[in-house]
Amino acid sequence: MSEEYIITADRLWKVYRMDKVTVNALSDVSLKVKRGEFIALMGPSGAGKTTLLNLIGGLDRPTSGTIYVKDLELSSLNERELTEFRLKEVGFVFQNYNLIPVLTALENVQLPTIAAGLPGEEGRRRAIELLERVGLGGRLHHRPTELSGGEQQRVAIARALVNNPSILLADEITGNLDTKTAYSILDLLKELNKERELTIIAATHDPEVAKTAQKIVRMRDGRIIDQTK
Amino acid sequence: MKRGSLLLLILVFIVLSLQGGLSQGEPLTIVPIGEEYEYYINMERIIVKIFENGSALVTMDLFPTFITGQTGPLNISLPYIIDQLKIIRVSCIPIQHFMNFRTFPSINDTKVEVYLLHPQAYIELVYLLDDVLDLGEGVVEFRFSETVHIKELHLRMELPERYGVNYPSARISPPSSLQTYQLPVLALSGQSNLVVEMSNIKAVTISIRFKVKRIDIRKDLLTLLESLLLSVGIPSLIFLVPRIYGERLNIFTLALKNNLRRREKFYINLFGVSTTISLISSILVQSRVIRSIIQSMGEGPIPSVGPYMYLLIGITLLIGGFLVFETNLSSVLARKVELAILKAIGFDTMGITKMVLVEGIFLGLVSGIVGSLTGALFAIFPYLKLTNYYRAPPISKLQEQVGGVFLLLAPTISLVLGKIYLKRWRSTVKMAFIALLLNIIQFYFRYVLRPFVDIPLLSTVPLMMTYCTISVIIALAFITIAVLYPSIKAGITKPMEMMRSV
Repeated sequence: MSEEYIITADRLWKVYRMDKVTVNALSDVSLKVKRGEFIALMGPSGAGKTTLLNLIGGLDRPTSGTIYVKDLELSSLNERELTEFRLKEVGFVFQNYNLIPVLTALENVQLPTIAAGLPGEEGRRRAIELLERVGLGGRLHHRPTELSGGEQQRVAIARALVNNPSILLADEITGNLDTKTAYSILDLLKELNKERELTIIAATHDPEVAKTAQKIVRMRDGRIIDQTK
Repeated sequence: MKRGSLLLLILVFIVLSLQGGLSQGEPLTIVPIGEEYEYYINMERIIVKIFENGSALVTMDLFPTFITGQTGPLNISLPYIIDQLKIIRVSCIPIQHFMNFRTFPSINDTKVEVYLLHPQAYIELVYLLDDVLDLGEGVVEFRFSETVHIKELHLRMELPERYGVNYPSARISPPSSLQTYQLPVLALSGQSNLVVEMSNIKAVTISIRFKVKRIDIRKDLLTLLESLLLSVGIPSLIFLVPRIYGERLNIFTLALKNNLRRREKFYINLFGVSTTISLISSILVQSRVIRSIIQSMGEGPIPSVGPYMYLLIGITLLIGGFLVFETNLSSVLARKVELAILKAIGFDTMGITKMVLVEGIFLGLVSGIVGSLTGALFAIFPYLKLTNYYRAPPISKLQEQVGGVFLLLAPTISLVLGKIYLKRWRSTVKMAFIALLLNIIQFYFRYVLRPFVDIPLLSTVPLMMTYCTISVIIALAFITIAVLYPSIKAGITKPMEMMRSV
């Protein structure tokens, strides 16, 4: 594998069968992502952006094709290895934040460190550090319902980064936010991208997000139609 | 945390040292014949009256032992010769006390020496053992001095009807020498008549042993300390433990948080599950009560209630198990998205299975404890009666004062503990208030209400606790099995499930 590319997806197909209808969520998609790159996946709903993110993040398996992340070929991993891969290499941020409602901001961020088997003190320290970094140092003990949308998204970003992943996958993260909040989240992502050499792939149909990115990949009907820098 | 543990250790030490220090007094033998006789044992006045018809009345006037610092077995020996049909009546009645303290005679050993020369002569012993709430499931032992030829020996415990329970009796014939007969005593409270009938003309000494504990000021202090520990301990558990351990995050605390931070749901489940478990403990306790009632009638073989009991428990367990299964499964299905998120951020199958399993077991444990206790309480409820109003001595000044100090002590300790650990005044005050409330409630029950509450089946409390423990264990085992499938189902949730919510 080339050292330059952190993600190499080759000829990915994803076919969903619903009763008698088959849907091609992805058709013959190939994508190469450099380390530290900020990529925007653009396209209308149903273009296959989320499916592609899920495949790269190891949440789902392709019908055919291969994905290399670093030196790992994802389809050759079993469930356990795939879980470990998600734990160590990838951070997810979603449109609806997907925080655990019963846990406080701090606990939500600390959560992945337990799964990683990190000692409690260390996990807690890291979580506090990250929450302070995303500007929520004063809201450690608030539950998600007590936080605004932007704050929840910041918590989600902190949670995604707590295990020091090399890739951050962001799915429509500004979709539920007002413009001002969306900008601040985007600024945060950009800063993190530079600070940590973090590879970010953000699926969006917001042109503002796309402007922030170094590269825009446009998708339609499960295909990549255009890649621009 | 260290200071708190030290404080707890000191308290436990005080309680233990108080419990250990009961000393034994010297037994005294008196020989009064034909007249009223007054004497003292450990400053406790005892009046013995021998009547014309040959009956003897022994009355004891008791001082609190904290003055004498001593307590011990009371040994009364009444040699008496009866050569015609006569009844010996020996009464041991604690009468009104000088001090405001209620103390109780420790009639551990009462020796009655009687020479029965008439075939029909018999002894009647009257022990008024009022308010002795402290008796374990004891025995009255009879021991005869030498070989006697008794046609029939009838031992009987009589209690006023208000208890609604027949007390055990025994017909033994003929007894041989130096043999000990035991009459089981479920509870000694109220007036117990002991009737011994025999037809022999030889002299006989009967030793009667009651196992009765004395309640004295140390006991009161102990009770107060206990109530102090309880009233400080419970709010500490509520407020301090979450504060100290709540910050930790692992699979187990995660499960607990899942339970406790969805309060309404948890309480509803708790109610449902604990109700079924209360049935189990209720059945267990009831079966024991029924057995002891049958036993106390003393006639015929004791029928086995085992099969019916197990059938009932089995049905209850099935219902309860299904309830837990259903509750847990629906909770897992409802939280599918949440579980999928956990899966997505890197939790493995085992971790999530463990988490849901712990959730179920925790629910089982809490509802097991709550349910078995309420079940047992409901089972003995019909046997709880309020009695002895007229006899209950008022609460003493000293008790009031000591109690008052303790009442203030609990919230004070809570305030100090709260200041150290909680750092927030609001919760600290809340904790102290709960401590005060608990202390008042306990004080009321133990001191103000105690004289009026009579629990004939109190002696079965240890047994009930055993049954409660058994029902908790049974319930836990069953619940673990019931939540196994939902837990595994939770564990194998696919991370993609979370996309369904979008």
